[in-house]
Amino acid sequence: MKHFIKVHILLCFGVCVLLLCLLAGTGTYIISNKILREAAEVKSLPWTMPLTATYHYLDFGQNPDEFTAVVYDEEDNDTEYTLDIHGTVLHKEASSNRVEAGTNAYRFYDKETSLYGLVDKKGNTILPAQFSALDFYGSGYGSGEKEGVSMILDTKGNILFKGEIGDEILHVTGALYFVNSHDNTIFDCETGESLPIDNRYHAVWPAAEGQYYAITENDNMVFLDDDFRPAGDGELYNKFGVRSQGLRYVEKLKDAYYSADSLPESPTLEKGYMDESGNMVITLPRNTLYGFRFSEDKAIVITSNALKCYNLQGKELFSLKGDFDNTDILSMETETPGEMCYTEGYAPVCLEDYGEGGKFGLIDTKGRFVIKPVFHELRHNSNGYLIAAYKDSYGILTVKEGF
Amino acid sequence: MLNKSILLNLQIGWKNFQIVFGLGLSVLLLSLLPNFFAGLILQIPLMLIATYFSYKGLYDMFWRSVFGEGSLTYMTLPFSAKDMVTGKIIASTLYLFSYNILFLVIIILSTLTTSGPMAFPGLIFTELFTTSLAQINTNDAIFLTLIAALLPLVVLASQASINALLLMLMVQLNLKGNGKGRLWAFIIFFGLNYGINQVSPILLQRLLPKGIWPFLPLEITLMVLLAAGTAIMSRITENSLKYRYNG
Repeated sequence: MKHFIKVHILLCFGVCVLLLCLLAGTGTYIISNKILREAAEVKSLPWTMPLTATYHYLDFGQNPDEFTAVVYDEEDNDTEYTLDIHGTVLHKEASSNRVEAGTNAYRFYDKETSLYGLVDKKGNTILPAQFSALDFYGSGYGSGEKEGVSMILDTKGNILFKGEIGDEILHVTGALYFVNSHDNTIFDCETGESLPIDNRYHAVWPAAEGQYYAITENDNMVFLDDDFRPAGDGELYNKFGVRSQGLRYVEKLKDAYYSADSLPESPTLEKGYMDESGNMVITLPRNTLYGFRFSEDKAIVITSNALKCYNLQGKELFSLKGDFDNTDILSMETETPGEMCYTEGYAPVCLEDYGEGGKFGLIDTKGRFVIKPVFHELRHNSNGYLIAAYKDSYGILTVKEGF
Repeated sequence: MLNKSILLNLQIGWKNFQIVFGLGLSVLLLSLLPNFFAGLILQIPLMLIATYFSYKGLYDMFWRSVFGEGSLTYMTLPFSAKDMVTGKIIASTLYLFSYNILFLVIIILSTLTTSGPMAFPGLIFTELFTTSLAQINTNDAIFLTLIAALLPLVVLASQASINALLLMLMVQLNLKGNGKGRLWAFIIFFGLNYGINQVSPILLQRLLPKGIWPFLPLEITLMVLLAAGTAIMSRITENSLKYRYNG
């Protein structure tokens, strides 16, 4: 062999080059065909608005059959479009630097000073642009920060509460604000009263109707009752999801209580769905990473190596092989590019971490893919429409007629 | 005699090219690691060292054996100027072509094993390839297949022409009494290599929006021009060395 190569070195080299040509051609042909097949399959889906690269982002609009599309501009002159389900433009406007802050007020942003202010409908200044942060929450009240001092204001520009330098003010719900200072309080904008609460809370947020939760030391969470005291025995949680159909996904720290002097060194996590009384009614395996909210009597649960579906009785309906390890992306239900919940019998799912290149497809109630996982985003609303992002394009799909 | 000339030049270059291939294989193994930093921190220095040794291998083949220490022994061998020049160009092309293929495999593997094409300096080429693949339509598939099938031949022709140019420059500059001939030859060679690497992605990016099909006639024309250029440059070098070898 060695002798043959030595004698016919040019011939051997030529054969190798030709084989390479053949390999490169065949490989490209196979890959091209695979991509083309996928593109043809995507094209044949029930689109109400076919995929288009015209818009840089597409989201659901305020009305059920309306969508909001945005075209970004390099100089911040973005344009916002309101579309119907077929992609017909209903309304077009240049994105302004104004955000509605209340019935008669708009927050504006001054590009030169990078500060926020408040104007009324006619453009008259209510508060000049002096705030490094200014957020209103629809209740007519908002929080702002001016020269390092946090404060609570109303849309008429009145300062209702002024903190000290270093204080932090967070909106809880409605007219209630959490003031994180030396002495934590809950400030009620309507009555002007301050309710002293536990100093160990780092933040207070709404958990469901009439229920709150606090972030405590070590980033654990505790549910609070109406008067902002730990509910029940003050059980501590590592993570929990949205309550729906009476159940909520939780990761509970075993034998760990808010009132205890010290926490167990390495507490065991009990994962599962908890009912409104705080009882763990569905226990999930230890390798569970997240449980999405229940909808249509089913919930999708992500474990490190599978995507599972459970019914309200805790019975596993099906399991699909998956590969997940990035819990951060999946922990915030509202921030996932496709919330994995059922609507009209279909749920968008991905079987890999989204951040690691996982793509979304659509499954039916038996766990069968009716749309292969090829989309970067797949979000649905309760009206049976799906926003799909494929490569650089956005489109609108309907699941109303099934597959 | 051509066969013997090729084998002899392969032998001359082997001392350095075995290091080049060893380093290339190490980079190949590193690209199997799904770690961005392993790719970025280790691959680039290894590739730079490999480039240094490949230049050293070319130096041995094109300079030392023609004008340096080994030239006297080389002149006693029964090679014509044509055998000598062709043998050198083929041997060097064989080494560098194989290295180019290894490089291409590394790029493909890096793309497959990392989250993006960022783990390798050749990211622009990878990005262009994936962009053109992502945008193909039915007609483009055939063109893309033909372009890919001809790609090894273009790489071969371009490598042969670059090697022929380096040899020609070295011989011409030295014969004109330029003592720093080899240095200038390497500077021009390196500049051309770098220039082509920088310009071609920009050119491809400009042309790509016009569609994939124009690349096929462009590729064939380029291949023919490069082959013709190699033949002309080999002839010039041959003529310059005739008095030495055809005696």
